[in-house]
Amino acid sequence: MTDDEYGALLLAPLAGDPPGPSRVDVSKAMRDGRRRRRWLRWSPPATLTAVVAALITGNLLLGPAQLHRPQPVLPPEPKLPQSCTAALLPLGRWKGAELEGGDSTGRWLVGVSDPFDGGDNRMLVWHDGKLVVEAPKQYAGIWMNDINSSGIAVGWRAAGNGLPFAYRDGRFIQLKGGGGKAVAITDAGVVAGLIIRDGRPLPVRWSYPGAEPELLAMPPDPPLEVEVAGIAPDGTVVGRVGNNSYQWLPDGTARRIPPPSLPGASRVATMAQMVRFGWIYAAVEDDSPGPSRGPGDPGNSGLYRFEPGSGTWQRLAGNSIGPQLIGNGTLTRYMQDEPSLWVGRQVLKLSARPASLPASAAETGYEIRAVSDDVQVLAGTALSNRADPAVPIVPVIWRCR
Amino acid sequence: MDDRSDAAYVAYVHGRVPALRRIAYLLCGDGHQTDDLVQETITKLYARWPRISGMDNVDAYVHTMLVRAFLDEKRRGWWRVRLLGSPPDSPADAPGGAEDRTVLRAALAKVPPRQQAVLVLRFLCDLPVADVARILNCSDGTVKSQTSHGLAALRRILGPELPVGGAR
Repeated sequence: MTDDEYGALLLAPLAGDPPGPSRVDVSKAMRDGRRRRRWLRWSPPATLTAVVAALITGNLLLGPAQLHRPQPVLPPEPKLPQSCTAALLPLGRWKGAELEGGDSTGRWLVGVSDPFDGGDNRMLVWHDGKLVVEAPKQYAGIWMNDINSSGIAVGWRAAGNGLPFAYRDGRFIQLKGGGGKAVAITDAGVVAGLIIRDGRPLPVRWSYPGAEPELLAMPPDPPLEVEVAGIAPDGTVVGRVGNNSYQWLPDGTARRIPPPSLPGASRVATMAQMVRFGWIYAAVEDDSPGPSRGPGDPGNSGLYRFEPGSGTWQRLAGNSIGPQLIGNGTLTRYMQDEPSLWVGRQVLKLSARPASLPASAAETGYEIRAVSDDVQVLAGTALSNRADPAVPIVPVIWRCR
Repeated sequence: MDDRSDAAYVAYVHGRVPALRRIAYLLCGDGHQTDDLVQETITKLYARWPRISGMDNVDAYVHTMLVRAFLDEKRRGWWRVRLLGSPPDSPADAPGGAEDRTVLRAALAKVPPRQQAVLVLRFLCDLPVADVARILNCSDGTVKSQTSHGLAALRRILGPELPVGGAR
C-alpha cells in the first residue's frame, strides 16, 4: 500500500459535512472588515524618523528623497563559512530528540527528547557538543525555546495550562506572571515572552528569570494576533501585533516599526520573524487596493529586513518561506529537503550531511534552529521523509570554518 | 469600497460558504470552530476584496486564507486551552463509527498543525500535491515530506491498532 492509499484509507472516517446550520454572518464580516481597514491605518507617533530605502532584489536603492543624504551605516555582514561538517548530537539513553535553540556562541544547545518509543518529552542540553543535562521525569513536558551563553534555557510547559519556565543552575523555575510562555533570552539573562491577561496574550519582558514581568505597551484595542519574534542582545523585544511589527526598547518605549515605502503601496503589513545580525527580519505584505496580481506573483510582498539604527529596509526575497530564519515568528518553523538559512543578507546552504543518519540522505529533511554569531556552529533536527515509525528524529550539529 | 464591489463580494461569499464550511470542518473537526474559521476568512477577504476580486483564481487565494486562519488558531491554542479549560477542537458527535472518528480526530490534533493541514487537504479534500503546495506557499517536495511525516506521526500516536478505513 502506498502512502497515498494509506493516508486516504486512514483518514476516510473523518470525511463529512459540518453539523447544524451555518452561523456565518456575511454582514458582520463586512462590518468587521471595515474596522480592520481603519486599524490598519492606525499609526502612533513614530519616535524614529524612517530613512526608508526602496530595495529591489536585495540591492540598496535610495529613493529621491534620500539622494542627498549620506549612505546609512549598516551593521557588518556576517562572513559565511567556507565549509562545514555535520554530525549527530549524542543522545545518551534516548533514541530521538528535536533541537529547539542555541546560544550566540554555539557552545550551548537545547532540545527535547522525542517520545519515539513511548517515552516522554524531556529537555536535553548540550555543551560543546556533549549531552550534559537531561530533565528529570517530574519536569517532562517542558519545552525550551532558547538558551543563552551561560546555559540558562527558557520555554514553557505545554501540557494543559501553558506556563513560562526557565532552567538555571540545575533547577527549573516557573517565571512569574501566570500563564504564558518564555520565547527567548539574551546572554545577559533578559527574557522575552508572552503572558495571558484577561484572556489576551501580552508581550512581556523579565529582567532575569526570577523577576516580575514587565508588561510591554500595546496599541489601543489590539487584535489577538500577538507574537514575540525574539530579543536583541541589548534587551529590545521584537514582535508583532496584528499587521504591525514593534520594538519594545530596554527603557520601556514601544516603537511601531514603520513599514517600508513600496512603489504604489498605500497599506503594508509587516510581521517580524527574527532579530539577528543587527537586523529585524520580517514578512512584508502589500495589502493595498489596486490591480490584482496573478497567482505566484508576490508584487511588493516578500521577506525584508529592517535596520533600526538607520531605519533602512532591504528586500531579501519575494517569498517569506524559503531559506529558514532562526527566530520565533510564525514563518520560522518548517522542514526543508535541502537545509539552508538566512545569514545576514545571504543564504547559507548546508550541503554536509551526518555520516550516520537513521535514514538515507535522500530520505531526510531538516529544520535548522540555531546558528552562532560567528556562523561557525549551526544545529537543527533531521527527520526521515519515509513514513517509517522505526526511524527516529535526531538532532544534528554543523561545525563550520 | 463601492456598492458594486460590495454586491460582487456578497455574491461570491454566498456561493462559497458551504464549500468553505466543509473544508474548515475537515480541518478542525469542530462545528463551532468551523464557522469561526469561515467568519474570519470572509472578514479578511472583505478587507482585501478590491485587490483580490480581479484575480484569476480567487478560490485558491481564499483557500489559502482559510488554511492560514486554521494554522493561526492552532498556534493560539496553547493559551486558549488554558483559558477555556479544554481544547477548543473537541471531536464532534457523529453517528456510526464515532469511536474511530474520535480516536482519529484526537490523534490528528496531536500532529503538528502544518502537517494536519497537508493531510486533510490531500486525503479529505482530495487536492493534488501542487494545489496543496500553492495553498501552503511551499514546494511540492515539502508537501510530500510533510505528508510522510504526518502519516508517520499518526502511526506513532495511534500505535499498532490503527483504525484504517473504519475497521480495526
